[in-house]
Amino acid sequence: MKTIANSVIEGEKEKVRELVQQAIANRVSADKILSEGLIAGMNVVGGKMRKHEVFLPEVLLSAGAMQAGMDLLKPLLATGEVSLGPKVVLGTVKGDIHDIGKNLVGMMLTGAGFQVVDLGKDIPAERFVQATKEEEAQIVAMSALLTTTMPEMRNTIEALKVAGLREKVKVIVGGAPVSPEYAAQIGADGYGRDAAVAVDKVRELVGWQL
Amino acid sequence: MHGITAEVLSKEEISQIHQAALEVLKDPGVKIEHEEALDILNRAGAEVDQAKQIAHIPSHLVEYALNHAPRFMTVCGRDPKYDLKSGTGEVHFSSGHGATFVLDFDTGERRPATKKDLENVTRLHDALENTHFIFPQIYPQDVSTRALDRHISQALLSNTEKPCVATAYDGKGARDLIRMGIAIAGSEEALRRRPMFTVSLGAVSPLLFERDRVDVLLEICRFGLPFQVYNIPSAGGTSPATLAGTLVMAVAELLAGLILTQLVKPGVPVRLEGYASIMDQKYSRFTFACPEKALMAVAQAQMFRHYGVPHGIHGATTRANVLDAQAGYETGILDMFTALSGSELVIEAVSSGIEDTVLSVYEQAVINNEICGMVNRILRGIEVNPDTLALSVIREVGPGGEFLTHKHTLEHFKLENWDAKLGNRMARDEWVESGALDIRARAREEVKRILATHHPKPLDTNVQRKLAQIVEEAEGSL
Repeated sequence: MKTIANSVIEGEKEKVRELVQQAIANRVSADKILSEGLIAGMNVVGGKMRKHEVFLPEVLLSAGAMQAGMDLLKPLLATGEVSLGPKVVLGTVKGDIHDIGKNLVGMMLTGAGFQVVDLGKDIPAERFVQATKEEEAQIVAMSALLTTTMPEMRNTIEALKVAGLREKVKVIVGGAPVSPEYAAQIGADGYGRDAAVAVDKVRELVGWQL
Repeated sequence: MHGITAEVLSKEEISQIHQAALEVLKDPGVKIEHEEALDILNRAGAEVDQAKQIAHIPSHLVEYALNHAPRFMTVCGRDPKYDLKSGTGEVHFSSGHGATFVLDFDTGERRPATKKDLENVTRLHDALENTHFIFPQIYPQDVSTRALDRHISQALLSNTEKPCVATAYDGKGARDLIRMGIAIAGSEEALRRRPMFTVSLGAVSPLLFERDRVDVLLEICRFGLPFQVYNIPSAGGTSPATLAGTLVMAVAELLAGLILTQLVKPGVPVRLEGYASIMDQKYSRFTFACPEKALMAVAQAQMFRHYGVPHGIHGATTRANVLDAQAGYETGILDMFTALSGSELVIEAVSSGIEDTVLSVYEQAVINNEICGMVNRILRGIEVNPDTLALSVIREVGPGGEFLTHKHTLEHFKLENWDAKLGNRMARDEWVESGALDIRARAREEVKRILATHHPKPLDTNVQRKLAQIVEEAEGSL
């Protein structure tokens, strides 16, 4: 499992694929491959990212390698052999089409074992509400890059309240103009300044970690 | 890649300054307080007045010197990876020199500098990646003046593996320095082959060469070690108030020094170094930290390139008395401009000196190292080729896509982007969480780390003993 983790850290997609296949063939449990191999590797990468010891393109390379391993484990998902983390509904709010940061958060959350439902960009409040209900999500994660679209995050939180969902989910926000103060002001539960910190925050909010 | 080189003089103006400098060398000529040197010039064709110690130098000696002075000059590191080569087109940065006070790293007290301080700051420069050449950043005040030059050279040569500018104040000091060099290199031949230091002679503006310093020139050049000639004219004080007039005089003085070296030993490598600046007429003191110096830096570099000799320009300095924003903007602007001058060597670029080089503050060197990193990236310019134009990448990604996850980004970002080490790039909340340190506090941490962990390879104990003996002899014999 250590070599899988290391290959994730090094961002070696082909090697991860090979090693995961081998592990599956050797009847190593999918749970173990996921937590002790893939996610263990991404945890190291996340830790380095938090301390700015790696560069973003390198993180993405690792995330890509991790994803390749995950894809092989997917068939085992249906059999219930893999226990993934809580569901996160993720999106860039209405009026905002900037999604690079949001995608990064998605990759890092996936890398940490969360089930990410990525709604995409320019997502109105009602779509967040609907997805939260349908997916039985525990976390709503929103992003905005523009100061003009920031208020849409507040609107979404209000919509969750109206739908009676606000108490059932944790809300985390992020994006260049967003600050911890702003997050508190609009009634969000957390703020992540970058993708690594966002993962930490989500883990903390739902008390789940693989 | 085109690169960037600033120019302030037209071809015509370069020629005008050159012609005027030739006139100055003839009349009024230069004063050289050295009978032998005057004789050498006289034999070569200069008209000499031994009583007044004046040499009127004809233009053909300038031509002679420029024909014989090598284009290239190498000062070697004890470790060859540090060899400082001129004429490669690359810009190098040096430490500063001459601080007589330090801001004590532990107490924050401003106090006279010690030999220990010189050892420490030399070790710091040994660690800083942008310091390529090490001058005596500090002149210690706790050793006897009669052996000061030996103490300085010993401290330098023992605490860095990078090439240095050692110190000799007179002929005997120069001979002692050569002895130190031989002890380190192993033999006279080895020292000549890989000289780990050079020595400077400062012409005293206006147009004066002091006896003891000329002795140093004779000793060092005759032995065949690389040499440097510099001067520090201050416009309105020791040179004309006009920048053009200061340039004329600066060039004349340096050419006079160059001529002497090439008459003493034709072909000895010599670097010309320009420090021209101004006299501040309101505060009645010389200053290095002014825009006029930036202009003259570029002009001097143009003159030196015109002559085709190794050269250096004095760069970053600040008149600030504390490490404040003024210290940052003055050193930053001067560093950038001097580097853009196309000079091969930006002297003082990684200096720890503030107060116009008088006060050494460790943190300043680390901050300047960061500035040099940024400057260096700018000098590297923009690489344009089919791969960097990235046409196929732009097509692949297409409108509305992103480049972050593209292989091309992974392949190129490290070469394109300079990686700030010290400057803040954190968002405010992270910066607050991490202790809200300003640049000075972060530099302080870096100094602490380097001084605690960085130790250049020590000299052989035998060699150390020899150097100590040379210093002791000088203490006793003079």
